[in-house]
This record gives sequence, structure tokens and C-alpha cells, in this order.
Amino acid sequence: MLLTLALPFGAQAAKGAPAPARGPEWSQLTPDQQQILAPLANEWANIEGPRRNKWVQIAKRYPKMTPQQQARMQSQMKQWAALSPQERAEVRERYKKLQGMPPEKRAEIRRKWQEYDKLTEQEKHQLRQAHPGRSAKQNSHSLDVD
Amino acid sequence: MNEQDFAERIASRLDQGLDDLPPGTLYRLRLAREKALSQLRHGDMPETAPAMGAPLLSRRLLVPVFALILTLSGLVIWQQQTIQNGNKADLAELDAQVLSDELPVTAYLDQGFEVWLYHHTTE
Repeated sequence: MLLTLALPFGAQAAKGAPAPARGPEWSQLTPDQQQILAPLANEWANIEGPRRNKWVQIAKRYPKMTPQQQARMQSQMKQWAALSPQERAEVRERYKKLQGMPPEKRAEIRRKWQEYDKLTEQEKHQLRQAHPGRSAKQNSHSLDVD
Repeated sequence: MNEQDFAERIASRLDQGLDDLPPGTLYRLRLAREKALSQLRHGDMPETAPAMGAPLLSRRLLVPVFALILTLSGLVIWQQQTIQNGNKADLAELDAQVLSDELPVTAYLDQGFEVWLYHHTTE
């Protein structure tokens, strides 16, 4: 019985998997993983173990993505890794809310982003200044719609 | 020699010398018998039973109880690991979706975009 219990843990250790606390070093990643996670190469040493393991999991999903999705992911990796845990949690929550909206609403928000993205930095700055600074839940009109 | 004859011969051999037991031995045997009978009348267990029985019982129980606790602990740890692994997989999946989505990560945190949406979104 004890042997049975010990087996899953023993088997896990026997695989030579990196310790979850530290995560794999960059040199321990496969060439494919290194290629996928290349935008993070310089930051990898500063990424904590659990997040390294999560990136490895994300890299596993990468081959199943469309070329467009792969390109978007590559372009956003570095920025995503630079966010604080709170910011990442906020983005995840807002993303989930967005996914709960009707498709036409989501399409409208994407369209509005493209319009906003074309604004000059000065115009964007003015809009940011106009933000009341209250919590996003109080004043967000679309991204945070309940 | 049948079984009955054999038993009688053993009994007779065991009885040999009974009449020649020393008085001291007879006295000690009588005392032990009286004590045992007295305890039996009072419903007590033999003197050695509580001292020997309880720890023996505990020792007998200790191994299965310990094994049970170990098994349950193992199951709890395994279950927690499974849940944690599931959560990690979910989080990795979610992050992969966020990162590959058409709406960039910046959009979710840009306060200017929030204001822009507020003023430009149709009801």
C-alpha cells in the first residue's frame, strides 16, 4: 500500500523533471521551446520557477495555434512577462469578461482599439489624463461591463 | 495402540509424582487457585490482563491506524497536487489565449483606451 502511494511521487522524480520550485534553466529547454520562448531569453533568469513552468506549458500549446496567433503571442510575451502579478490578474479577469460578451460587442471593442491605436501619443496621453483614476469597475464602460 | 489408550498413558504419566509434591508447592498452588477463583467471582480479569492487554490492543491497532493515516495523507497530498496541476494547466491555457488574442494585452490596462471606449461606444 505504501509502495503504491510512493509510486506516483517516485515516478515523477525518476523522470528527472526540474524541481517545481526553481523551474528549468534556459539551457535545459529544448531547442523548440527556446525558439518559441525566445522573446523571454534575456529575462528567463529573473523569472520564478512556477512561472517558468507555466511558460513551458504555454510553449506546448504554441504549435497548435494559427500563424497569426503565434505571431501575436511572440509579440506580447516580453510585455506580459514584465507586468506585475496584479496586472496580469487584472488582464485575465478582463479577458474573461470580454469572452463572456456577445461576439458583436467584442468585435466593436477590437475595432475601437484599432481606432485608438491610431491616435497620436499626445492624444492618448490626454485621454489617459482624463481618466478619473477611480477603480476600473466604477468607470469602465465596455471592457469591464458586468 | 489406539487414541484412547495413548491418552490414558499420557494422563497416567502426568499424574505420577502428584502425591509426592512438597508441602510448599502444594501451598503455593492452593493460594494461586483461591486467588484466581476469588477474582473470577468478583468479575475481575486476571491481574496480568489490564497491564498486558491494553498495550497489546493498542499495538495491534497502531499499525493499521498508522497505515490508514498515511494512506489518507497520501491521498490528500495527491489530490492537492492534482488540483494544483489542473489550476496551473488552466492558467497556462488562459495565458496562451490572452497572449494570442486579437486584442493586445496593452488594451486591457490602458486607461486612455478606457476613456476612449467610454466616449465612443454605442449603447
